[in-house]
Amino acid sequence: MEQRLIRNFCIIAHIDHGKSTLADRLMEYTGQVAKRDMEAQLLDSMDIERERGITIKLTPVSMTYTYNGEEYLLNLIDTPGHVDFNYEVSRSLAACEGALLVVDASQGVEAQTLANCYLALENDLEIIPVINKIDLPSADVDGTKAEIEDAIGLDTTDAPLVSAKDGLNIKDVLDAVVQRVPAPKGDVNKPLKALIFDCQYDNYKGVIIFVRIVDGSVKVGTKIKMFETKGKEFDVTEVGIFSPKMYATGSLSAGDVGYICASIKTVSDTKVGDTVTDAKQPCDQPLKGYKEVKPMVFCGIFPADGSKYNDLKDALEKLQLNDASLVYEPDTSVALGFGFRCGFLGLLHMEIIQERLEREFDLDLVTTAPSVSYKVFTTSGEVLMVDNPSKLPPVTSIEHMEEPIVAATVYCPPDYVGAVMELCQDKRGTFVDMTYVDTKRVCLSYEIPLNEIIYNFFDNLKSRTKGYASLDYEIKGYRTGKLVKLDMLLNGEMCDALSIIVNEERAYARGRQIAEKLKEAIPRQMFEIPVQAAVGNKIIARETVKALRKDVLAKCYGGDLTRKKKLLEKQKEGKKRMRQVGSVSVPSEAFMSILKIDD
Amino acid sequence: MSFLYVHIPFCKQRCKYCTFVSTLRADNMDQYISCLVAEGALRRSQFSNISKLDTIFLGGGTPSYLGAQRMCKLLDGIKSCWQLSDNYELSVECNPESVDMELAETLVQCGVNRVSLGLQSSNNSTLATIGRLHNVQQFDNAVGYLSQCGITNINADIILGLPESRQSFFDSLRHAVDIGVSHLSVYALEVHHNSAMYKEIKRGLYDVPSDEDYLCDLYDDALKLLSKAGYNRYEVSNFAKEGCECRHNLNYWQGGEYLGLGCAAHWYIGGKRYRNATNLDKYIESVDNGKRIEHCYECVDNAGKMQEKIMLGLRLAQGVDVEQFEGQFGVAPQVAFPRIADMIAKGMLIQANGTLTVAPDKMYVLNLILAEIL
Repeated sequence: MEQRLIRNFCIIAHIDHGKSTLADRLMEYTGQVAKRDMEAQLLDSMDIERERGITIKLTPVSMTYTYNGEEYLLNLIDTPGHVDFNYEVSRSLAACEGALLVVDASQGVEAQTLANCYLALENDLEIIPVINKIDLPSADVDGTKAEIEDAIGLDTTDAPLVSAKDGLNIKDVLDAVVQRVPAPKGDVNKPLKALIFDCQYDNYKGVIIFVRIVDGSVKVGTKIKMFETKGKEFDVTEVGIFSPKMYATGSLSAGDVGYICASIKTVSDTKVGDTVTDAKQPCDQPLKGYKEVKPMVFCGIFPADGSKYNDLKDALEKLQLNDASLVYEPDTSVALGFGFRCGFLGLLHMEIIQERLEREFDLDLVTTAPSVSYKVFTTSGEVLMVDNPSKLPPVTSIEHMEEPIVAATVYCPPDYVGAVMELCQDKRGTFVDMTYVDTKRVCLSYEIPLNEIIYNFFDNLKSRTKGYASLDYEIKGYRTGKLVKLDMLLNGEMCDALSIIVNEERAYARGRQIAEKLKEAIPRQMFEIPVQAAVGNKIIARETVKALRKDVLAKCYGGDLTRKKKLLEKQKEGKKRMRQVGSVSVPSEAFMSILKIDD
Repeated sequence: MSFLYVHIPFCKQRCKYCTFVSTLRADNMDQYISCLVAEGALRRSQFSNISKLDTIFLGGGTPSYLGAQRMCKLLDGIKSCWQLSDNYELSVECNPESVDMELAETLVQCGVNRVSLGLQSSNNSTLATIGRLHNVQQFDNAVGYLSQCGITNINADIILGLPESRQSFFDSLRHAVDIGVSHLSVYALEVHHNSAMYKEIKRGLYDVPSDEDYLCDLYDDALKLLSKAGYNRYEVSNFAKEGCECRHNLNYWQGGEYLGLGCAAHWYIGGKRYRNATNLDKYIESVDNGKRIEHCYECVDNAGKMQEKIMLGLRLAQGVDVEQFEGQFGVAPQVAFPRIADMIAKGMLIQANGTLTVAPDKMYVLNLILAEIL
């Protein structure tokens, strides 16, 4: 296909503004998918995405569309809407020349939309505003247009007005893409230069790389190599496009978006953001690639069944291939055995990864409380980054500690300003600014320690504002904090997997809450178990799991014996699944229950 | 030593907590009794080495619901199959309202020397709530008739944890003690999902205590009250005056074999466990047509027998006889189950005078101990 007939674009939208539905309509309109084959929200290929109604992974799709008698190839790369996945957004943007900015006519512009929109502008993308959900009674088309013009400075005169749900005015969107998104400007005659924007692992084909061809071309048989993983060369066995399932075409050339298989067996041989080139005739310079993302939230992930360590390792390796923002390293815990310390972009990201590990890889996991990365200044003048409470040096060798602070922006209706301010205050936030965007929305700016954000902040915010508030945050820097390590002791023995780093003022309350939770979660055993929270040598809270007093079967005669044996087997099984902390058996749920603390 | 259990599935009314095999029909009692006797003859010839019975236990259901004449016919029939040993024990379960002078006399004439009465509670309103047909006066009368006829070995069943006050529970215990029963079974209530009680609790008609500590306090205090009154706890839920332990049940807990007659009866012989057809019609049909009545549902190997010996033996105050265990299995309990040593060290188990027993205050957490050692 000639480059002038190719359009590469993505969709930017806030969660719930209808991005995936619009993508579905575009595919349907261009005949990419027959209506009977439509599964609602096709691009959300993961179960979790469809269930939660969010997009996490970008998924590309190619469509053909005839305009003024000529057939165009439209490559759509979906983008995720949640704050945690900015990273994925920037990956999509680098592979495109244009973006559709979808705004819900009944909701207006949201914080996250703005953030992604700025990213798109930074990438020199042509942005086409699309006003969605015009069928809703509460739709305010003029107000929304005005907001887009004010907040982002885009001209909305020709903005398509659509209802993705009803399939209204979808043609306008496709026309706008052809008319306004620039054609790619690569040179087919130059050596191959392609950007890897995603990868996937297939049991038969090995690593499948998703590419945007910038210059040159690639076909079956081409010998390719990657810039960052030098030395290794691979023979291309298959290339193709997404329609939306993978469809082999034999070759791809400048401007195309598609995939390459080259019998790449090792996950670490490819890296998202890397440049692919021809091994025999390489290009001189690699593409710019992506900003390395830094994980913000960390937690320990352990197999519930210790013998599944290698399964967990394989699973993480495969997930990372497809989600480079996940980082992990081996970790050991006295209580939980061998596992991994994992870093995530945010809490949602952490939840998604845990869920994918459990669902897609059929693993039972035990996860520890989330933590952020602290700067520890030691008395010997060293500066350590510590994201694992059990790696914190002894108090005596800590000079002081700093914690990450985020600049948080919350948009909410004026009625909820009080509730949001109260929440931010509770979470040790420092007020920065408050502006009225219009009569219906207020923008609040706060500086809040990240370790407060990771404890249910988002859920709290949503529940206090009936779901109306939106949150965006970015790391602002580190600030000295009065931080202490809170340990939990079971029958006098410290359980490393339960330790957390908290603000000193919070320690007492949190220690008490965790002790209470543990008391609920740990079953009564042979002996009384003291559950204590401690900061250093000081016990700050105590609960007691009383000794078990009754578990015997009252009646046990001839016919009851089989039942009794079964009960006993069950009891033994249950015991096997528990973790031993000293003399105390702790069920996996106990480690997880402390994550659900609400304050 | 040989033991026989006979199941009588008939009940006039079903107790709310009951999930045993029982029926409210009464039209086929005679037919059923004939079948029991026929099955007895079959088993007698099948296991020819068993010629004398040491204990017979008629359980249910409600055996007393059969009435004097059928009871007589049944017991005569059984005795026509097997002889009774000199020092036999013949127990019959009775509901208080169905014991009158005629039945008491018949029981004695037929050789019954132990009766188990389902008192459950001495509080009449509790009895009505849980679907029992008797009141406390009828219990007193039953005890009176039986003693007058010479049956003094009487058990009273009492349930712990019924929808009643703590006071009611202890009143019931005292009532049984004062009237002079020789044996008490104090069972903690289990509310099964398929019981009427479960549904009634769900509907909010009443509630049963579920607090573990409250129930354990009841048990501990019952233990104190009964031992003070001269009853020894010889098994988790069973208390008896000296020499009045139920020998039939002791055999279960010692891992002994036993025969069973009747629909839904279990029996254990030659290392195999059998269950007879649970459906009454099917049972009668099978006996009448000479079809197989039982099916074997478990073969217990040597390792299984060792486990059972420990599992059941530890329910008894007398515990497991170490020497007898070694004699039977060729290995000491501590060698077969090494974790026993740890439990002894922790004070959960006691080994003394050639027996292995559970520490008296740990009897109620026996499962925990078993889960550790087995």
